[in-house]
Amino acid sequence: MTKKELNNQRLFSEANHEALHFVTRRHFLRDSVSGLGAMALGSLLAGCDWLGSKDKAAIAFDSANPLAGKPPLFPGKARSVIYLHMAGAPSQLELFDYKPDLIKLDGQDCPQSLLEGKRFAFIRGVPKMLGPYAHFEQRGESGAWISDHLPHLITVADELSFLKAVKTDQFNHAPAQLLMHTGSARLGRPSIGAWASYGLGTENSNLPAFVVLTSGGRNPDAGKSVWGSGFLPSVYQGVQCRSEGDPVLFINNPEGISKDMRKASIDAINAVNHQSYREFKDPEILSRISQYEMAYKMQMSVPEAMDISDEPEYIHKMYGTQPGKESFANNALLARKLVEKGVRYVQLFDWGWDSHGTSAGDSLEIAFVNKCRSVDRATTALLLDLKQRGLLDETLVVWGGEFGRTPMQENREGKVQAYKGRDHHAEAFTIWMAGGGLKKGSSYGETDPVGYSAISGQVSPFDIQATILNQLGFNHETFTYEFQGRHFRLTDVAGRVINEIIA
Amino acid sequence: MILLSLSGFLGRFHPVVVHLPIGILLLAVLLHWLSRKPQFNNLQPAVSITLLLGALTAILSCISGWLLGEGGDYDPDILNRHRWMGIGVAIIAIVYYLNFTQKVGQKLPAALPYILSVLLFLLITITGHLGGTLTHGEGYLTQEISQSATTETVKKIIPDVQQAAAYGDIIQPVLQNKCYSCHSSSKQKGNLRLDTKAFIEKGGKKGKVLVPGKSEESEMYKRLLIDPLEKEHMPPKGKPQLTEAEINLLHWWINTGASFDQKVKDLPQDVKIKPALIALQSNSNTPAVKPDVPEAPVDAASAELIGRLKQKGITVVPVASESNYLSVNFISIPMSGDSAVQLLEPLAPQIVWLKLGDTRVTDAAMNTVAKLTNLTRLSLDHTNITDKGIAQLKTLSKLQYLNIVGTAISTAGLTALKGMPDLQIIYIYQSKIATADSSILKKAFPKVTIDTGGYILPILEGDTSIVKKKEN
Repeated sequence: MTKKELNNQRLFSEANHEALHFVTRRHFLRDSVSGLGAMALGSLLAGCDWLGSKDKAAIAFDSANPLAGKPPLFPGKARSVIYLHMAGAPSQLELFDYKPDLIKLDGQDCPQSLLEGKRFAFIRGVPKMLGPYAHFEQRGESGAWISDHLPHLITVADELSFLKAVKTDQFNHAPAQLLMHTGSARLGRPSIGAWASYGLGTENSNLPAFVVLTSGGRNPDAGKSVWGSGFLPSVYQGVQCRSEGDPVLFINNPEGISKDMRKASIDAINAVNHQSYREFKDPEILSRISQYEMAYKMQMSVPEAMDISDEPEYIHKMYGTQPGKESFANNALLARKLVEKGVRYVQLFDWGWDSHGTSAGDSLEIAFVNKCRSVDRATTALLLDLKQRGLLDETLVVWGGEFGRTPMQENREGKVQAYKGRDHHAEAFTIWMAGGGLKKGSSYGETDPVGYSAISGQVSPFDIQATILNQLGFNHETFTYEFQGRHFRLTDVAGRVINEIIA
Repeated sequence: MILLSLSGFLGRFHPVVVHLPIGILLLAVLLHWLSRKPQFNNLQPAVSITLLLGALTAILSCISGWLLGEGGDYDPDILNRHRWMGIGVAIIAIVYYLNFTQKVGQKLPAALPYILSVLLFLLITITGHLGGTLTHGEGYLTQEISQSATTETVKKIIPDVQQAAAYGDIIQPVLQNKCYSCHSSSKQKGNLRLDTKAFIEKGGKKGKVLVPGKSEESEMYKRLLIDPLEKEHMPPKGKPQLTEAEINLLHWWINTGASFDQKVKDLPQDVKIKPALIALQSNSNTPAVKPDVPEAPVDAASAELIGRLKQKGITVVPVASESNYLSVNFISIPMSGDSAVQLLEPLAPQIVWLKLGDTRVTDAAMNTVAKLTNLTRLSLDHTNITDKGIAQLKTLSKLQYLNIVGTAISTAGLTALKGMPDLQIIYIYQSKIATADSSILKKAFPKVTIDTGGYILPILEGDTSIVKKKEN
């Protein structure tokens, strides 16, 4: 570098510095303000409805009372939802999707046409076909095929609406669960329950709108995001309650703190919060105040609502509950109690349905049968109990996994396995729903003779989500939340309400 | 061959080119008439050049239109009229131009250009409309204003489905509602018409669409089942789709031989098709489901009143965001009693759903509830209401759903409500109604479903045991 070049460079940087001196704090403030002004103008224009979109369903977010009851777009048939998720994905071929042809093909090599261009989680090479490990019969007047694994559920076959050809596009548990509950296989979207509580609030101001209960010894693979609130205000996320011990941790007052003292301290905290609200006018402060009040009310009502011990003996018998233990039956009974008390969305996860057949613990012959036994009675009891209380009409019950299972025996690492088991299968599986204004004893969709893929009536997780929202009174296409400059939907750009199963 | 496909390709430009003469010639007519006014006199020179351009593009349109028309799937009658009127437009435009520029007919009356301009205007309008009818189908223009005429679906009244004609009463209406818009006299997409027996049997461009007895080989059935996103799927995306029942009916009709004259009773019917057939019967016993929100509009309740209820902890929410009808719920205040219910009286026109379950209300509150005559759903479960209270509710003529689970109401009390016209379901679990009284209730409420509850699940061996070993 010559001396001249060096001088030039110095001059240039000095000029830059000097120029910066002319930018005073005033300039900075002015520029910031005009920038903010432009942003404000943008949001004002968006708020003006100047494009004349007529069916925008704007939900008022009242930060002082975010869970207040709100009306849906149109009168919904369902007031609440109980979603029973069998985490791990139960085999449709052992429960609902009866394939006699598969019995004949049992033990034969899987035809190439089913394998070409497909990927499986564990199956490698050419697996053998696996006949159903179940005895099927048509049940009830509707003639629904349900296997002997669910001897109680068959008695309520005429209450159920089957979707026999659900197709997802994820074959691993976590993304498939996320897709099922949040409409995206990636993290960060609000779950159906969060959307429902955002749209409808709660009927009971003393309880959360969205409660999550888990059983089976583990949380779902996708973690707490499956009941998260994503970009919705966090007040709408699912409140996970434990089914043993304190339902919500730290809900009891610490030793030596009386109820009155607790109230006094919350009042004091809220007074300080109100003062800072007057100072800064930040709506999040109001939100925080209401959260404190909600927490205080929940201290009163949650232990009562979550306590199943005050239920009569015959109800315990009906559900097959195991007091003091974590069980699906306890959670099912709790779900009924919560819905009765006005909770909007109750999400149950029961872990342990991942029947690969690598050991007795995940085999179709042993573990799967035991899983069926652990949910059959309680699921049936839940439906009948809701029915006799006049709640099934207005409660939508959904039962299903995150995907299905292959018509082929799994051959992990190309080896023959000691137990019967099936790999993850995204192409076709069964989900049933009941109550909430759906057709009773109906079935929609059909799979091919081996249950590999849909031949008619195929639906996607988005379609199921659209249907749930529809029953709650929302049009999934107009029920949106504005985030990062665009309107987000639960079903994003997909979804069709499954009118075929709606009464 | 290449020449042939090239001509087809050029024909595809017709929809684009055709707008040029429409715009330019109309402009020419407009300029011509305007230029008569003194202040627009200076427009005079523009008329001839505009006319010339219009005439040239009209000729181009005629050529491309002719090529497109040869390609075929149009109603020959409308196509013929459109074609010759289009040529007429071109000819008149040329004559108009020549006459205007005084190249011909100098001796003819001076009014001639004006007569030609009016004629041209009318001809363009009609030809354009015919062209629109060809591409968008008959009635496209008036669809929005006379929707009842074009979009209403045909529905046959079938008193007894077994006596109905399988094709005429069941299949044809389906085709008419879902297929005719593209495959009948007005349009023949893929050269296919489905509006008569002969046309259905003839098939379309790609051959037969119907193989009697074999639905899986019949194109007109197969196309319905293809993934709706595929191009081959019928009806195409955006058009009304066949319902599952309609698809099943078509499947049944083809598999039973695709008969055009037989009655339903002459055809075999399996378990699967029976419900779909019975559902077609117009006098089937399922009563029309009444909405649980009245259709008549109602004035909004005063915000102050609602505010007062909310203050008390009562949940008051409109049933829908644009409805003034209200759903009221006392779930947050289980300790509330009759005095709180009295607050509802001024909202009588608006309240349609009311839940008083699990509260301390008594018979005294029923006095107020009886005045809420728009109620369709009422829950009184687990309250202290007795026969005396329930008898007052006779005034609720719109009530559809009644829940008296866990109350002291007896058979005598409930039967006092007999004759309520819209009542559909009553939940009486754990009330004082004896199971032995079911025949009395059936007589009092012949059309009402009465859910007695008390469901018992038998204890099965599997409920308490687990499988430990593989069975063989």
